[in-house]
Amino acid sequence: MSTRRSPIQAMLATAVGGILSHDEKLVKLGLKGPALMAWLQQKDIGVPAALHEVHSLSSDAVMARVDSDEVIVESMPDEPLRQQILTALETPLPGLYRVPQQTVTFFLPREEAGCLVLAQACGVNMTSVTPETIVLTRVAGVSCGLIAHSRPKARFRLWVDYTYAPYLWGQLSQITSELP
Amino acid sequence: MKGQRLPPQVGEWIDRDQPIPFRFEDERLVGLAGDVISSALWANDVRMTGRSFKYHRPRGAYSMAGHDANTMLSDGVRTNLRGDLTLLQPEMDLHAVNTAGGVKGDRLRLIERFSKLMPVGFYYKAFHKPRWLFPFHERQMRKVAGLGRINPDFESAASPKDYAWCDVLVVGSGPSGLGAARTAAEAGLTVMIVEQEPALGGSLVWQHGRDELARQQRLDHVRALQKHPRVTIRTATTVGGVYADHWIALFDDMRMTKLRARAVVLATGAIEQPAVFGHNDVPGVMLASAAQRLVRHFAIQPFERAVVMAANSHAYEAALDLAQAGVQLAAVVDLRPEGEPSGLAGQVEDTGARILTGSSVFEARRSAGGKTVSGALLCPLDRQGRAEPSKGELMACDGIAVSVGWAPNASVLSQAGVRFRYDQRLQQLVPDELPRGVFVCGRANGVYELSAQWADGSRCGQEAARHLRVLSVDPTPVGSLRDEAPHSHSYPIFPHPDHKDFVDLDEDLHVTDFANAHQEGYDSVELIKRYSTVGMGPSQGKLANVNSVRILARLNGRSIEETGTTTARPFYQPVPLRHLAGRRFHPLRRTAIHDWHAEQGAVFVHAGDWLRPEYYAQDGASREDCVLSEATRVRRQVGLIDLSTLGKLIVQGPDAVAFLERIYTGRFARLAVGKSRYGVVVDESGVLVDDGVLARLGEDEFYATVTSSGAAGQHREMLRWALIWGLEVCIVNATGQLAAMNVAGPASRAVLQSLADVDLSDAELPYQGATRASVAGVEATIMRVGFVGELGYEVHIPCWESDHVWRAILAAGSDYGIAPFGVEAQRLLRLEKGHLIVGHDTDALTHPLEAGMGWAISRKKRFFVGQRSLQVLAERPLKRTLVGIRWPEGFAGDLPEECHLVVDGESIVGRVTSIAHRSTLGYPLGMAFVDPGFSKAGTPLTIRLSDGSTCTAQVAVLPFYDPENLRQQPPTSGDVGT
Repeated sequence: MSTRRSPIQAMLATAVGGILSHDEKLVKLGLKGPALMAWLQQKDIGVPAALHEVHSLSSDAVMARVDSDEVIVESMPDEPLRQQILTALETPLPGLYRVPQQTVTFFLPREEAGCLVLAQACGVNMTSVTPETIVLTRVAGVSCGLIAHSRPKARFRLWVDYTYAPYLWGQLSQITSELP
Repeated sequence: MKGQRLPPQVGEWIDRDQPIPFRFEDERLVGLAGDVISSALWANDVRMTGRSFKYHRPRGAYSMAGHDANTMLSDGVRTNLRGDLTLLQPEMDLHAVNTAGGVKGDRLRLIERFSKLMPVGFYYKAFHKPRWLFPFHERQMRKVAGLGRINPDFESAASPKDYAWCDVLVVGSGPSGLGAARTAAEAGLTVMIVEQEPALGGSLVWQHGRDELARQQRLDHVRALQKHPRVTIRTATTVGGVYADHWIALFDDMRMTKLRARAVVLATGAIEQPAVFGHNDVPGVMLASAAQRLVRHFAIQPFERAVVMAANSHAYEAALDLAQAGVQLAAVVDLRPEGEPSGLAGQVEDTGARILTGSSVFEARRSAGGKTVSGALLCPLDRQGRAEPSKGELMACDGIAVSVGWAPNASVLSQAGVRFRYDQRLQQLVPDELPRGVFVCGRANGVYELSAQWADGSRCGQEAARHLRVLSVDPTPVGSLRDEAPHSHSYPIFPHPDHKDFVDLDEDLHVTDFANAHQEGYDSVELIKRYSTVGMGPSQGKLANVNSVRILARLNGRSIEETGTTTARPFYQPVPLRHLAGRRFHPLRRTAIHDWHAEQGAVFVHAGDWLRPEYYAQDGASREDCVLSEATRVRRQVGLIDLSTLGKLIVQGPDAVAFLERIYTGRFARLAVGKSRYGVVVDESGVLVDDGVLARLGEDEFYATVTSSGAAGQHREMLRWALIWGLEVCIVNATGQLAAMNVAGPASRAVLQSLADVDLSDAELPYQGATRASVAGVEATIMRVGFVGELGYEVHIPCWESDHVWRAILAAGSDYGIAPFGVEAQRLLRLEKGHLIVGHDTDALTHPLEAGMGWAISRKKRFFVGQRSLQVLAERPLKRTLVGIRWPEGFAGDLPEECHLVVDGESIVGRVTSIAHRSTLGYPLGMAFVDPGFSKAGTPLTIRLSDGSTCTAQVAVLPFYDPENLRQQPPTSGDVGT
């Protein structure tokens, strides 16, 4: 039996027209520290070269470089790269730290509807953001990470704090329901 | 004329196949789809659409462009609708604002009889004596003044405020706006066109309706723009404000849009300006452009027989439009001695109209009741331009169309930072200095000739493209596009002895008001504005400012340039507050166990962004009973509280110890791995800003809890210090990543032990111990704490799995009578134990010494933040002390609330910080800050209650509960870091 519970489990019925969606199976792994980049390279793990760049690992998995010495890997629990990193982490290394990452992931289509929703909640022009980069911004007043994916399909991936997720889901659902 | 429309007009907005029924002042009427309210009323021969602000004089359609407040209406809960700009909707129930008893029978019209008693600024001089009568005056003034009424029953509705972006924003869609937009779009830029009216075209529709070439050009441009993939068109949208960096607020009926443009082209056009003459406000007197709008937009014949007051070519164009619409032209009265130089004069004469040059309308004659125009008194002008009424000629008419000049629609230009100069040749302001990325074209730029307006628009489109580096062209010089002849008369103001020669229709200000204000010393444009309120009405002076400046300039004997203009500020038009509020995003945090709390009847309380269970409601039990029951269960059995709102910081790295030694007042260098300690944080001035528990989980790894509301700030402050000190430390705010819960009470160990994979005995996990463990199969950090004064364990786990752990603990504790307790029971329990809450029992000036926390300050450390301040404070006598207060068991009198004052006679000597009217100890208790002289145990304290009565408490020794700490294992001697 899974011990995990989505913060919006009771709210999923409010999703409108498939515009807003949520994948509760995705898990995150946060890594940080001055030794991180060298360690990943040593493990032959490809790292986004530029700050805020995002690598797509598989259909759902991504690695985002959210700071010069910090990455977040999001994937299904059995993603090989995740397993590779977890195994490697069993040997502690000075200057490499795990960061708890319990944020929640929403998806919006990267087409007119998704852009219209975000335009009502976020001051960043997501239509002109470079694909496969993470934008750290505020959506409906809440700090979020927003990724504009062009592959494997065009969609926005939104990361939000677990405790703000029900609020944000409610706001985005409301906006979605009022789209013309 | 009632109900009749003209044959189809080129570019008309109405749909003749869609009748729209509506009501005005309880009369059922019918308009057409595409009508605005003002046009629908005029089509129904409703001329009086409102009452004036001060004298309650009849008013009617005047500008048909929203530049006046004559047609302001309410429709149910919506109030102050602009009749000129609001599309007619089926079943509108319209009423004029600012009347008592309706627009026809307005009882307040009697005020006009006392107009001589109400000169400019009279309210500054009256009503303040006798002083005791002022509240009465104020109430009456508030009843009479103001426009629409707020309906308190209006259900709050969110407005879908949004953001938008473009390369070039073009404001206005007349010839210059269309030209600019098309040029910019064809240069490869994304363009947004914003037009205040419901359709594109601007003056091309209403001013050039007889010009086939203009019609073709308009259609060509509009079609091209509508099809263009890079062009967004927003009609019925107003630019409300222009702010820094091309941040522009757009408003339509539904929302505000925050637009960010890379360049802005302002093709806002010009606003036709009124002439000032006797009774120039009577319904039937209107701007010539308004009459043209009625004809071209709505196919309405404005009058039967009209007089046109002229000072430029446009007046003659308007006269010909009226004649084409079937209006009998009685006369064109031209202020210019030389008359119209173009061939238009001959065309007007061909209609049978007389042309009187060097003459003016001196007075609008009114029908019985003053509700419509019945004639115009026409007078020749002397060499100084003054009317000579003795030589006047009365001419019967039912309408007076005025076209004596224009002013650039400059409000948004000014907001954008455009600086103007007064062009004597054109007799209007023209842009002089433009901010970077802002371009002005068309009549706002002093360009009036149609072909020149197209060219000026294209020039701005090119300028914008060049500014954005997508085009390199040499722009056409602006000056060559401007006309030689003025389009505005220099002083179209003809005072009338009745003093009903209105300069500001919104505020009922007439010429004499300005003379009086000037005589009283208000001789600058800014002063006279504030004294007379000119330009401060709903129209923001769009029809009043130019003439008021002309009058003031003449009174001062100075030029317009020397007189200057007032400052234009947002908003261009009044906007609904709900559009500004938008969706009112108020972020709310829920713990991971929120749904369970709700299912169990939790009553939630807001704590910053968080929603926390205050207590769990029980059938038939009061809040106080529930809280006491929950607290008692913790004392006697076991309880579980959701502590997920606690701030949680992870500090790691080789410099973690050194870093924390500098952040906290206490010592942590010798804290053993697997142990925790209470820590206090002060700022540089020694003020207590946060507290919590620090657990050492590894040599270089600490886990710190901080206050719920202080987590983000404390994290930020730590990052700042780490940067300043250059220490190698990794600081993570895990507040939203980790949930926490406290299982507390005598049975807590037994409950938790059944789920944990580590030994929780005193030997392995003593009081203030900390360890990593698996709880119910989930990775957790367990800290043994005593905040509520009982054996207790905080369990910190990942959010995603906390609901599972919570339920597992409750299941494991069922045999021990476990139940959840809320934040209110926790507050009671900690109060009994004498633990303060930072931010609740302390304020923005409290330092640890006066809070009785000197024991938490190390005197052995070389440095920590705030150390020097605390050393200084320690040498000074305390000004106040935090003490316990209590009442006898069974006390039945009134008790204070938090923040009630402790008094000594008339002196304030303290305040209550926490209070519990009932406790598990059987008596009321609390905490209070008091002057040190009142801090001795047993001292009676007098506390003033809200109703002014007092009660007496007694200073008590803290803690109230378990002073020997027998409920815990006593801390080892090394744990207190002094």
